Amino acid sequence: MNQVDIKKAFPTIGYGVGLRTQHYRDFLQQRPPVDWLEVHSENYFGAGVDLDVLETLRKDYPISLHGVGLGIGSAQGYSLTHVEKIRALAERIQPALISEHLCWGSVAGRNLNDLLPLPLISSALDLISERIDRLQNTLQQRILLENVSTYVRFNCDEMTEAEFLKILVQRTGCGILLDINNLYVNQVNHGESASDALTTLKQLPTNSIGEIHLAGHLVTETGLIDHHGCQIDPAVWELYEQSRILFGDQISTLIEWDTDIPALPVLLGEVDQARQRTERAMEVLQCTLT
Amino acid sequence: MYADLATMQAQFAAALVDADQVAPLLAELRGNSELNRERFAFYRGNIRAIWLQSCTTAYPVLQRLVGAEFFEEMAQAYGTAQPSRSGDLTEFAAGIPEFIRTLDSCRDFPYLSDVGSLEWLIHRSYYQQHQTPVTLAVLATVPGNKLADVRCALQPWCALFESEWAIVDIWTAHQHSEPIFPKEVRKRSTSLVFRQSSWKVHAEEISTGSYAALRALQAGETLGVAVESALSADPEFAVQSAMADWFHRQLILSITTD
Repeated sequence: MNQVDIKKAFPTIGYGVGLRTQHYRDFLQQRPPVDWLEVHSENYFGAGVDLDVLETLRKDYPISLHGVGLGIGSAQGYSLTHVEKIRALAERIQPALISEHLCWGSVAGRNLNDLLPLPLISSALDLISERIDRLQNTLQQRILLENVSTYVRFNCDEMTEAEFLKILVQRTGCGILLDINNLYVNQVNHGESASDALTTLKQLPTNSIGEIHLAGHLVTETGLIDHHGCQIDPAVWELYEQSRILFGDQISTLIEWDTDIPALPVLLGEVDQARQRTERAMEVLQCTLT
Repeated sequence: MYADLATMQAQFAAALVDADQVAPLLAELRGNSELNRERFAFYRGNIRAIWLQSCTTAYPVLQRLVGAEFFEEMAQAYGTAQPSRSGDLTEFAAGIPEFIRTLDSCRDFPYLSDVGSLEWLIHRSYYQQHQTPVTLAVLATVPGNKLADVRCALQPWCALFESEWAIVDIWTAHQHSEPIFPKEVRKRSTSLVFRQSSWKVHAEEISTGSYAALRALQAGETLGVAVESALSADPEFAVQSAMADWFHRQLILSITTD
């Protein structure tokens, strides 16, 4: 049973980057010009150096807590201890946004520590709806659920991922963290139209999408790999512009970079690009309207 | 209630860990079976990369000692045998020192396990909070006749380690890009793990006296008992300089008198 205000809008906090240890020094010494920071929640469950850094930076930047280890769709091995750690961290950091992934990650007796693909079936929908309700009640906040990139799909799928997310939003009042790169990876890997996914999500009430992720992927002969280890692909930028035209320029945008992490100016360059792409999309929108 | 989902996830997980279990899963996947096999290998690669990454983060010196190739094999064997139990990977590699002890291939290098134990203390120390320490000036306000009854709480990041081997020498040598392996490794060592700055955790050899005293304090004994322990370990133990060193390193969190 939902006990949070699902009409409360997700905040507009501009353009951010994922905070990684390699850039701690840059942020502590210079406070680089980004609007907000996102961290992987699990990296701050401990009480040591990382949390000290985050507690310092939260005074100057809005923070988003992005979970990578909960596995909200795990039929077994779902951990309430993990939920409690997220709650305690959120209480301490007072994040602007809290997000999780539409995936699973554990079975009885083993955590796989990965964002694994869900069969898009109604029993998974029931399970996850229930978990989101409880999580939102525990956190007393609307959460965001991110669409994921996958390398396989199941024969038993009953709907697309966008339809799955749409129903979750309708049932629980949660929001969507729209990862544009993941949409593109799935388009190439599975022939699922990213534009169709955006159209499906457009049917939801305004403010259902609370955040956008942008990242790089790796092209291989076997398929695209969502490795977050290079600059954003031109095709992904185009989809980003399309999403700006559809959903407006108020949704907070994040640049993610997790492997082969470059010097901070490279990330700041991607942030600038996101700003420019948004301006361009808004100009296109204006021209269409007039 | 979610029997189907649980069955499917169990099958998927089994295939991630055991290559022989991939074939039955492929029948459940949409599209070309051969392509699915290759793409499923991405997930199989991910889990192994995560095991390796978790072990590398905690045991950089061990990795250098045994070489990248052996270390990777060890991480795979460890991850297969001892499943991760949490979505938080911080504690995943805790069992590596014990696991190394069981490996036949490491039997000729009995110090490896202790190197691992020291590195694990360093790893854990990083995740402990630094709190405002008490100063020597505060201790100086305790009347002389009450000093022996003082109990000292140590910082959560402070850890102590004792070995039959020259573990700190090995560890220290491998903080450099071209380490020179210590000539003598069969040498008892007592060491302290501490926060060198707000960023860095460090290990250093300390005297057996200082080690015994800090151990006693950590166990909740009084300063009097701690000093006695130190003197029985090392009759030459210099109380004042050892205590000055503890306060200088900000090891002492608080003091209480009964």
